[in-house]
Amino acid sequence: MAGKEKGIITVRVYRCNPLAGTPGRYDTYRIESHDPITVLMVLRYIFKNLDPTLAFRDYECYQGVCMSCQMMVKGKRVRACSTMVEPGEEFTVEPLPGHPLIKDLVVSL
Amino acid sequence: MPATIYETDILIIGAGAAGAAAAIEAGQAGVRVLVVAKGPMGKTGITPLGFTGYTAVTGLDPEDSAELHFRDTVVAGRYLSDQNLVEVMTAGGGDSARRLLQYGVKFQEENGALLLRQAPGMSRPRMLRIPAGGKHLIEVLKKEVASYPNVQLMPDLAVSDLLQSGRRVVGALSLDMKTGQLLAIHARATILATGGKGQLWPYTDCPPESTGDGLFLAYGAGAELVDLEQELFYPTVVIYPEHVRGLEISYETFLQPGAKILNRHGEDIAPVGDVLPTRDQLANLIFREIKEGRASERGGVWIDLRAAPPSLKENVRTFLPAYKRLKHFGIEITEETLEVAPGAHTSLGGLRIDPDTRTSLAGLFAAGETTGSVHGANRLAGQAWLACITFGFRAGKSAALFVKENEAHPPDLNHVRMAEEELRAFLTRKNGRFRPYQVLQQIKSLMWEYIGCIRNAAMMKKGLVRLEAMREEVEADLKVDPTAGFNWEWAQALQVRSLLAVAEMLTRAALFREESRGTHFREDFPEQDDINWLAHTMIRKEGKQMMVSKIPVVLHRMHP
Repeated sequence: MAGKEKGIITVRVYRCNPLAGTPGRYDTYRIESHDPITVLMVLRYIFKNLDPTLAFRDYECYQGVCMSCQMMVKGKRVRACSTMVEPGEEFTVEPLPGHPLIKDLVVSL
Repeated sequence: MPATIYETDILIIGAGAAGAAAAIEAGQAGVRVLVVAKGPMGKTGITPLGFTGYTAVTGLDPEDSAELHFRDTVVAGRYLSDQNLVEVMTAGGGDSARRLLQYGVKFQEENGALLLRQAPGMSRPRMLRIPAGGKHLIEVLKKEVASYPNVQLMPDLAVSDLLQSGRRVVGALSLDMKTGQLLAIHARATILATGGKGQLWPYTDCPPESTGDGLFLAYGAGAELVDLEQELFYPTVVIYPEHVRGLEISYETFLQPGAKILNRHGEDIAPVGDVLPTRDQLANLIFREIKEGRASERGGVWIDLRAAPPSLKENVRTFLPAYKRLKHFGIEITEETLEVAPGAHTSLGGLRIDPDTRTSLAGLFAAGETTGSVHGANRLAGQAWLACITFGFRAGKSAALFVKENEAHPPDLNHVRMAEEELRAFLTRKNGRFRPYQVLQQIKSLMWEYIGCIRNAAMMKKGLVRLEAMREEVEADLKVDPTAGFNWEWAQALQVRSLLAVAEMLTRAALFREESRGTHFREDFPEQDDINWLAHTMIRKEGKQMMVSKIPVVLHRMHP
């Protein structure tokens, strides 16, 4: 589609802090990458370079088995550590439904 | 707002195999128990990642015995293990395995009997296999813990300090990650089951929370820590690509004739011979390539199985634990090279305990990877979990007994208030230059450059100077995002605090031990020196100083 940029991954991330009582919103971030990377790596990039307030579980079992990085990516329930996205992609990330929301992408597990 | 107070009888910090085992025993004793973990229960720490081995003398092999197991363990540990602890662990192995079976752990069977495997250093096959791995083990334990209504669980809680009344440990100050609020836990007995410190190093198969918190906490309270220089590196841990970095590639499976390990010049450095090298042997071999400038651009070496015989390739595809994960990302290890380096795998040193898991501080117990002197200078496969389960159960039991025999002591309130203020100040410094994740990277680079697998005095002394400078920088210049609520930067800031202290402890211990023994290798003292160094290095805080000294090893049953 027109508008897809080389070397850029665009992600809309659900942001919500229930403690602050404010409604949820979506923040859009642009990640520089020329290679495919995992969604977990996308979130780390955001945390390090763009927005230190982004809350996500930065745990890693290295094997895709612990399930602590589960979230909704492109509307599907996936493990962020095991899901690759391509440069030029635009997609949405949301917390797992059905679990109490702690903040942004962090839910009670 | 001052911290909320939570009262309980036993506080268990850490919910991996050791913490869960302790919770089961404490639960059975009928006292009030609170188990806390830095993340979700059953999805935090290294237990869910553990592969499959559980080594114990079950009585199924008539030619095996607790005596033999004891001997193998002490020899593997280069006589640095406390033999009282090894005795307890090896004598009780079969019982602990039976208990796990009873709770529902599925061990691998062959022809209707439990399968026993033999790994390097074992004189008989005695390693049981849990095919569904650590994930299954922790799920079973978690279910068992949940059956006790007197055991409360609090996930997403990071302990920042131990609370004391005099020297006695009476609980902990913690950060509730869910809310960003502080919680002061008052407990008659505290069990540390916080795992290891693999995150000190740039390459590790230990998860992000392996930051030696228990060591930092106990050190701050004045406890004794032993043999911190002993860190087992797994020789072949993936370093690239990023999405599989940290994955352990089992050399026990792939390192057969036809497999190559290539350095930057394309030379095959894989050892030849009938006997597989031990982990430390292979780790040191690869580390030497790296240190002597023959590593890849990224600082590793390549596993190359492209020219391996079809039978080896088939073996790898069937039995290599990492195969499926690599394949998920389209990496076919039998047809392409894979970049690896030695990664920190297990901490062998830690808190000093007696066979009842008591530390040198009243009210403080410890079990699992956070303790020292069980495995000595090297450990056998399948014995990490054996130690966690054995001493986890014992810690729960001992702590419950302590509770029944001791009154509650409130913590020194002035100290609590000061600890709270310091913690809040630490977590809300907006104006520095370095964020915690940057300091973490710096610590890792420092450790790999100055300490690593092959050590010498000159480099370690430089490392200490750099660490000291880093600590001052962090004091002055750490920048932490102050947003309240679930704040990952706060979790990382606490990790930085732990790792800086632990880095210094490890380095001082490594400098102090002037010999090579097991996983501690010094090129300036390459021989094992049983005359001067058959002893533990011991670290303890005295006033503001970090003191290092030598203490004797318990050797009542076997001498070298």
